[in-house]
Amino acid sequence: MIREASINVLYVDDEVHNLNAFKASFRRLFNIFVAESAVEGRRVLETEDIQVIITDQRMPVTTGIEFLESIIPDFPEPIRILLTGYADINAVIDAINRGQVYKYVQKPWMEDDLRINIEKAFEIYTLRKENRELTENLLLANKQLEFLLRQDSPLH
Amino acid sequence: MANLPINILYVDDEVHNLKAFQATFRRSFTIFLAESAEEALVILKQEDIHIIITDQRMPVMTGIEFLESILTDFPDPIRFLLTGYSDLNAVIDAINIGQVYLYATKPWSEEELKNNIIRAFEVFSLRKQNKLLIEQLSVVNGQLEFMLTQKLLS
Repeated sequence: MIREASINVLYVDDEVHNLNAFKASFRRLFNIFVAESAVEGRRVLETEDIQVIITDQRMPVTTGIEFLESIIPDFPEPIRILLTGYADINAVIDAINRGQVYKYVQKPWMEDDLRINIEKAFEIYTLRKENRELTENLLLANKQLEFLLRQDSPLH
Repeated sequence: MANLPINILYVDDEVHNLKAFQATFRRSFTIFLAESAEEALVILKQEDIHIIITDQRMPVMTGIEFLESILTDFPDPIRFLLTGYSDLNAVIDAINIGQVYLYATKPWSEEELKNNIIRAFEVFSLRKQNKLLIEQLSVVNGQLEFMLTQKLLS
């Protein structure tokens, strides 16, 4: 297994013992940031470069889906994973279809399963980012090439 | 959701599973079916398959063994395994060493499997696109370098 210390994961859950359990399971593999509410979660997003967000669905004030929906305009890039019980599955499928949630994981989560999902989410994040950067670089290089060709052209 | 041109190979020794899969997804994706690893290999050689979904428990060759056997010749399709809870440890190992991309426990749910297929296709497409972009970028950069060297010399 590769140690992927460069993956920044934000985990949001109103139950402190869940936050602690998550940290204990994954702190050796990823950089973990924890938040006890949607408000705290947003604050972390404003200061840290987060690639994967994991949130519990059932929280007071703001649900996980509402939280994820609320941050999309400002932070569209992190991959959004929802933790949920069986009872909420319909709402979750709806949220996936509307693009608010990338993936859901059922509670109680299994360590291996959640780790694999985090790694896959990071791959998607990285592939999308690379795709954008490569496309920009190619456009730029093509423009430079065109410029040089035009300069050399005897018609000018 | 819009129909994506996704080619799926589904491998299962139980014919009624193959039929159920086809009935569920034939309107969403292009489906190819195989009753054994051998049949699946024939399809892989002929068709441009994006996603392979295989049952784990099959006679002769298990799903993991099948996926392992095709890795060298067909590294690009995204590999899914369908499995019961009792095989989970073997599956996690197979994911960790890269033979399997994702597993779904049986019985699979239509919505979930469909979402996973669409997610997996994005990974397949991005890997392929990025590879092409890197090639194109290196060609254009080579041309740029050539032109700049010529300019310096002239």
